[in-house]
Amino acid sequence: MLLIPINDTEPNRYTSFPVMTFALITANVLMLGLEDILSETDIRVLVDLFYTYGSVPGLILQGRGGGALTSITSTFLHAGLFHLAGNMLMLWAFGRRVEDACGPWRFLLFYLLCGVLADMTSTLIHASSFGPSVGASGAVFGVMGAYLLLFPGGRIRTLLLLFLFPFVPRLRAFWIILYFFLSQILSVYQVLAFDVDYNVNYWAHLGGFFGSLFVFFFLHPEALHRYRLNLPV
Amino acid sequence: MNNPLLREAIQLARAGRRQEARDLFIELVTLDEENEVAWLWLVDLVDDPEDQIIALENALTINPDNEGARARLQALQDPQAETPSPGAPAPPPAKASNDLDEALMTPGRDLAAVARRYEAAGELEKAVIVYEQMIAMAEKRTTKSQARQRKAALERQLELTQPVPMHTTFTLLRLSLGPFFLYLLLLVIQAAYRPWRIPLPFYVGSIAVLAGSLLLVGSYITPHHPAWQRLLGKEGLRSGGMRLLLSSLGLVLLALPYLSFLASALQRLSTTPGAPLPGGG
Repeated sequence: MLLIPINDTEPNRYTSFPVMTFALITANVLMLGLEDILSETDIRVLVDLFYTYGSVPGLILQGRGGGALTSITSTFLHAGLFHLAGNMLMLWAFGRRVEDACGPWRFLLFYLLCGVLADMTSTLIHASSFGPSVGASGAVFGVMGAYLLLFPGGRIRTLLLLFLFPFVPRLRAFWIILYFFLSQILSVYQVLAFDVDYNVNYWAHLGGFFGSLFVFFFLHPEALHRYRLNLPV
Repeated sequence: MNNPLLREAIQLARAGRRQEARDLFIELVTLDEENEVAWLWLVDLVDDPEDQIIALENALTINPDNEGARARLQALQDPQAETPSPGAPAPPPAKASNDLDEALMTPGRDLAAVARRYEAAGELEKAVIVYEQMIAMAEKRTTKSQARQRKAALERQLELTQPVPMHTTFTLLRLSLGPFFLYLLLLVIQAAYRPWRIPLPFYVGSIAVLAGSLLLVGSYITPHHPAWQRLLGKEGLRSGGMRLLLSSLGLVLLALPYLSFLASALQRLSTTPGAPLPGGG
């Protein structure tokens, strides 16, 4: 079963245009464009780009390379179109309403914080690895977790592929996020128990997801006031 | 409502802090004479009827179609309605609660219509009472269910109008800690997860980030925090120019440590070894 969130369908409108979500998606798309251009000139250049600006646990723990800067730059690099599309669709579906509750600049700080926490989790788990880790999924999992906290009843238009038959139901965000969370837990279990290598940084996803708890440091006062009153944020 | 000052003022008014709310609304209309919402809130926060008239007149200048404001202004300007002449019969007692009792006790009365009328008149508490009666008396499950839903919705609206004080200090600290925490995490990673190796200037930078956040949030979002009155005197942080100056200073204090961290990290980028060749390990 393939499950892809497409759009948030909460009935109440946004109070302002989600500029930061839009800007983050644009920045990520532009970066992938740059990666494509570099890979066409010389693949070695692309590999060096990933090694320099991706998160390499071994280098970070040796105090070499960009260090903390790569925790941020790695969230803007992706290993291909499907990697980017999956992350950006999730950011589009969940990020706009979280940005609405925080404001654009606080949302950016929260997004980066989740990315940094995801990277820290990954670095500590894969401490001896010298392979670069790239992608926005840690930060995006943080945004998903924040959406679950703030809009527990929210419904998301989802593309569901069951035995190659497509459906587009409106599912509760709770079930979608639970599906993704459990799939990460299951994958981590398989990696630990059976030494399977999926080439996906599941620990980073989990680290970013738990970073969502910090969203309360970024909510603007009215949003927190409504959250405390159990009103729609 | 994207104006944080307006949000703060309304929160203060709802929390019963009339003087602070009044001062803030006065600040708002000083900054923007066209702020109808602020003028309307001021009507209930000033005591002098002359001031109330001025506030209503200003609101009507901005929005002449505001019938509620117009009715209120006429009531204030027409002293005959307020003070009956001597010897005139006493005005009849307020009918409001009598209407409610009559609606609830008259058999066959359409309670749903009564409740809707109270809702339209803004008398939400009475509408809730009517819905409670409907829930108790209705025989059909759908009627009970609809009345319950409507009652719950009105109770949520009523909760919004009741003050749930959230101290401005809590808001100030909450919003200031986010950037500070992010900066600390970046420092720890940059020091290869050995915090004792972080150079002293970066510790000073973290204090600057916290101070900058507090200044920025304090001047932009919580300008009426009591601390401003202690620091700047009774007037507090009233002036728009002063607020702009302090929030800019806060932003600079917040941004400089991040920029110096960025410079340090970019400098260290050159120490990145070349990527290992495929298959080379």
